[in-house]
Amino acid sequence: MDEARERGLSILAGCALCLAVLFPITQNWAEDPVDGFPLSYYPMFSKKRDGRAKVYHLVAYDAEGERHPVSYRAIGTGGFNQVRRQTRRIMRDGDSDALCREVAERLAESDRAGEQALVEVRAVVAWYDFDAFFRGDKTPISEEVWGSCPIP
Amino acid sequence: MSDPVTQLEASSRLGRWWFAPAPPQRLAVLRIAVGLWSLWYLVPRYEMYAKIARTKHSLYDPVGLARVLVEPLPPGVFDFLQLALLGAALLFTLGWKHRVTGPAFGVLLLGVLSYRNSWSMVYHNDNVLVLHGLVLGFARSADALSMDAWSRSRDAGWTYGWPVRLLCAATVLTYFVSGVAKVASPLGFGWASGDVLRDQIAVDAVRKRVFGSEASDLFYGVYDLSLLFLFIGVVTLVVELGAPLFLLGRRAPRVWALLAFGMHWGILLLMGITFRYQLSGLVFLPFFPVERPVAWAVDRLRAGRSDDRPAERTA
Repeated sequence: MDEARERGLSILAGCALCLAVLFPITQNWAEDPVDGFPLSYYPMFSKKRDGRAKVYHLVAYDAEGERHPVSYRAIGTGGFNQVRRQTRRIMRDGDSDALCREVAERLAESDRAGEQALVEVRAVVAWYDFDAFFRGDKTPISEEVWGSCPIP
Repeated sequence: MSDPVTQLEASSRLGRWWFAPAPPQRLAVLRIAVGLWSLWYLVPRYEMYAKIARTKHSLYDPVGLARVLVEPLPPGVFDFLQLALLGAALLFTLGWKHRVTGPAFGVLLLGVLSYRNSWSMVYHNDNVLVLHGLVLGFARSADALSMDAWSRSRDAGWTYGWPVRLLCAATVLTYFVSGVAKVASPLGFGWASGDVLRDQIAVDAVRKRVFGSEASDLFYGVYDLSLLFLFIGVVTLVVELGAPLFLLGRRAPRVWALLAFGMHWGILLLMGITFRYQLSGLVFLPFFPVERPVAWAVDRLRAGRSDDRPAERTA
């Protein structure tokens, strides 16, 4: 390939990649923004929260009625954030009871000390207040139970 | 000097920057670093990715190259692609038949990580690794320190310079895009006040707590320090929105790389989020003359050998 042509191609390749990386910026003003890979508009730190958070998650109870978090490892595979997103999606799809049944079975087979004493798992949508949470009160300010299942 | 490309090179600062020569060893060191990193990153995750490929089809939400697939792949096909990627990564690292194995590595890395991120969650920490893999895979990154270059040496030239500039440009632009998302929010530049950032870290910590993951203990201690979050917010916007401006200076790109590297370590300490490629510093290697430590080590090795020879003869 002659040198001028090769130089021209390097400019084309460079411009194409840089424009491709920049293009997702348009999602910031889209009505229904869509994230992509590996070209992203990096929405994760831009949302306004107003000191509160709504979280779709599972919670387990022991025989004394004590509340325990359910580890993402007992819910699914692929890492904490993937399991969190999948939990939200499953619950929104109306499958909260089915999810609770699956997790209850896994917890029943668990040999972890903390998980052996659990008697029920619930799928909840909970609101947490940051000021209260980070000053010691870890309970949600409000909560809806969307599904539940006893642990066999 | 009549063609437009040569005119661009001669007449503009951007052209001189883009076509500035670089030694082939620089690109080669970057190839080896990205290749070794990919192997280190992918091999221990083989089982996890195989499990992800067996997740319920209802959770499949394709991104990137996986968008061409309306339905998930049969798990065995994805396992094969993973193995092909590992093989390509090894050959890419060794620099063997790079004209074939380089592009194969870049495309397989894009494909496998697209598929891995197609199950309801996009892990943004893989983005720049894929971009770097593609650039190095298609560039002449095996013209030194490779099996292909075993018996020939190449001089410095512009063909080894522009891919390094492109790696730097792609890197800074991803940070710029991230910065734009922050100021494009309803708060605009008020994002830097620190309240939004603190709330983002807080929601991440709450989620980690309720999902039994590990949140940073440090955040609990600094939650009420508003001035700290103001400082972090301002620095974040400078590093992200200002990233392209840092690119054109002589020393500024390295200053930016160090700032961004520090920012990722700050994110780890405050949020417990591990952007591994960024935390390792490898993402910022294109900003530095990485061939120099390698050349120094080779020179030392050669000097050591030549020092040994007279002693051997005397003995």
